[in-house]
Amino acid sequence: MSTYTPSPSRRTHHTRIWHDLNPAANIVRERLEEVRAHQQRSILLGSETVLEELDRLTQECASSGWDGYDAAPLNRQSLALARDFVLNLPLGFPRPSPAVDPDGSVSLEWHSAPRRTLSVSIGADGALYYAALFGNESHGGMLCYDEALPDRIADLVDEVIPA
Amino acid sequence: MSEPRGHVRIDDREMLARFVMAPSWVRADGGVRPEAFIPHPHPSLSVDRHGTRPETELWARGRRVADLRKQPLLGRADLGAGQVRDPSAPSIDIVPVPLHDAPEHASIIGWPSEKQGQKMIAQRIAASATFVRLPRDQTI
Repeated sequence: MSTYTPSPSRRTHHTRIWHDLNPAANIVRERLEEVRAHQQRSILLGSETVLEELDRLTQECASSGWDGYDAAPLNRQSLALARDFVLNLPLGFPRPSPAVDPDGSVSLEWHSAPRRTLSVSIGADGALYYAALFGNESHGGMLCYDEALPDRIADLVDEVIPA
Repeated sequence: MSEPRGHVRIDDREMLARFVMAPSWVRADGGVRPEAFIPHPHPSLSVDRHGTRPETELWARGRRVADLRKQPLLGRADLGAGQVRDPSAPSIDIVPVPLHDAPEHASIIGWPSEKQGQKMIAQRIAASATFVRLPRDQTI
């Protein structure tokens, strides 16, 4: 599966190799660390609201039946993957609004109108179940999350919220 | 909960209500999210028929549901039966499933088993639903 952009975690390996080359490389390494730290702060700034929402949902959906029917408690593995997914979104990419499905999975929504909307549920096993609605046209499917935003999801978000 | 045999078809013009008790299922703009219509763990989704009841009775039913589950009632998602049925998902239907304390209870049945299919149908239902917040004078 192709991906939208390399995740920050994929850059760590390259940084370690540079560190082992020679002392001069350390200067480059330090600069890279600074850039990476700055980038991470920027990513956190963009995702802060979503992460706070996820923290709130952790409290709200901790027990079964939190929806007033028979919903399962929020799944911790799905929550961890959702946090990772949000943190790995490219800088400047629209941030989703999170909620929890009745089966305990975290769902992320990009929404601009009732019939221009995308919902992605993150399964505990890393499966991404998505559904999008554009007018009367529905799209849906399943993808695997591998620490980077799948192209398919990025394309659908672009349709919901044009750049 | 069992489905009735030989049930009477619910007319497309009938209005249905799905009571909402999860705050995160209501968007900031007042719309209801598809999560409110995903059937889990049951194979069908509970709704109530508006019928000819006064609205106060509909809210009273919602409060009973919420009290039973010890959750605050936030409002209800109203949807037409004809909007639930869709040629692209012909298995979906609404059937009356009267309960002893809720004769207007009904179920949306015929959901696919795979999650992405459920999400697509729930998203379409949510798009046609109207969220009605519990009026202040109905909160006590």
